[in-house]
Amino acid sequence: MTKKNYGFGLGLRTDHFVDVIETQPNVDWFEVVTENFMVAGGKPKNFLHQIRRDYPIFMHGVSLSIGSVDPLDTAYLSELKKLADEVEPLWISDHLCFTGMGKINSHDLLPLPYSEEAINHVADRIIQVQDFLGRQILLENVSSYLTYTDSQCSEWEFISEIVKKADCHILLDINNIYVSARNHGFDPLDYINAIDPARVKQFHLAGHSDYGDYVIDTHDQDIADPVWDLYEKALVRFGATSTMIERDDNIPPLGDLIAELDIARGISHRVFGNDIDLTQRRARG
Amino acid sequence: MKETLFERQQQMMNYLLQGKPTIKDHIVQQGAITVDTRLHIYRNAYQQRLRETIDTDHPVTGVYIGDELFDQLVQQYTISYPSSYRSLRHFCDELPSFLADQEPFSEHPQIAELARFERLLLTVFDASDAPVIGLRELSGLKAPDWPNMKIQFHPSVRVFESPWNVVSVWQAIKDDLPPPNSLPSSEACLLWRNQQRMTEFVHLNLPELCMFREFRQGSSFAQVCEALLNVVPDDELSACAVNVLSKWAQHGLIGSLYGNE
Ligand SMILES: [Fe+2]
Repeated sequence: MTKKNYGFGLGLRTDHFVDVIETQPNVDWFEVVTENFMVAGGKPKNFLHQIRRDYPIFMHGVSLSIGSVDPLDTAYLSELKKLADEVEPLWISDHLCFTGMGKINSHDLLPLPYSEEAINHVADRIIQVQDFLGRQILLENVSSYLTYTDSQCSEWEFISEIVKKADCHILLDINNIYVSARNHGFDPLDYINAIDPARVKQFHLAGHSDYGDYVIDTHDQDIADPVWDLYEKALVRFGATSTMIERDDNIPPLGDLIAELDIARGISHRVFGNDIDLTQRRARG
Repeated sequence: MKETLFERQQQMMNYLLQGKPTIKDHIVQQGAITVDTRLHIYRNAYQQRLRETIDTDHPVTGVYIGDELFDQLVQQYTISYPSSYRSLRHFCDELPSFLADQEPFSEHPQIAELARFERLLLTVFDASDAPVIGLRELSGLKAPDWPNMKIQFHPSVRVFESPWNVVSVWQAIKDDLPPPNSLPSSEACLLWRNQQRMTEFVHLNLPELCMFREFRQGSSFAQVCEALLNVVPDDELSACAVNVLSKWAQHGLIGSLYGNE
């Protein structure tokens, strides 16, 4: 099976809306944070529709709370489906975590215990979500800072088992692997080598803050060298894969992010030469 | 078996929201980082995120009350109103009523009013889209259709009425000027999102407020004019009414005209 590679994208941020529309930058696609556009109308939504005319979109959510013991939020799923019908994204993704319970939202991506109970619970819910949406979704590995005593396996075994059971795919965040590896003391290559290449449909790259003893996934810095190294190794293992940079804070001018994206392009070129099959090149005219 | 996942999530949430320590017994001690530090990373992020949300949504209220009271506001509000919303954009929805009810903020009722004005600006910014009619469509209305004419406003249009002069306070702080003293007043403002999708507002005089209230509740132009007689002299009535309507049409506040179907 050939893997669809959509090339190099960026997380679309408010600061860059106008620049994107006016300068039509050399980016193959944009990823949007789904919830930011679950509003009735107004400026951001109008920008999204304009940008959608020129670029494919990936929809990336933060509220699915797939691991929560709360019932699935059907109102959210309906809105998600409605937005997906409007935007026609290449992929819909969210995170392997829980964000709250009892209707209280932590607005954070909280870790799950890597237990059989959690595997069954999450896989079951992904199946329901995919049935409702009528399509497969991508699940992203989150950065984590603690391990529960209930965990019976590694994170990579946990995510592998879930995606196999639910038949969904993976959005592999290379920075999150690095951050978690440092915080938990595992070898990031053990993680990468354990993931089934056929399941990986997208990469995230991002910056973090290194405090020596631990690392926090802040998304407010340039991508660090060890993450670039890991990205190269991930390309070797997984093949050419849609890649993007996630910058959420301390946001630089669009040009700086594109320059950073060019580093990713360079690494990809080093690994594959010109031999990349871009499934969908953006029509330029 | 299901119990474990439930219990762990509950313990984690109780820790984040209230600092309850029962989760500590269920976290693995790994390497040089203590369990307390690991948990604290999450609690710190949680508190920081909510603080930033209040700060982003209510910058003017923040400046007005000063750092010390703002810290107190963040602490009390986040404990009293943990977010039950999907999006942080609604986290501060209860902030004005919290400020109105909770000491020490309630001793200065203008604080709650200022926050209410800031929230309304955000509501206007996020309102749904809809077409508007301009001056040309308005003046194209045939003479016999005027008496029954009713107005559907653009979904972003809101009126803000306050017993305090908080709009002037808001404007001064926004312009980096010392705010005027808080005074009881009968300010009324009309807010809307313009064609460039920017939020705008203007102060309303009495005839404008009267016309807006009447049209908003579904009155026809004839009924609006009758109500307007209470605040405008006879001979100025039609000029005044047409003037106000033209202004609304120019600003893109009128979604559509109806009443003559
Ligand atoms: Fe990510």
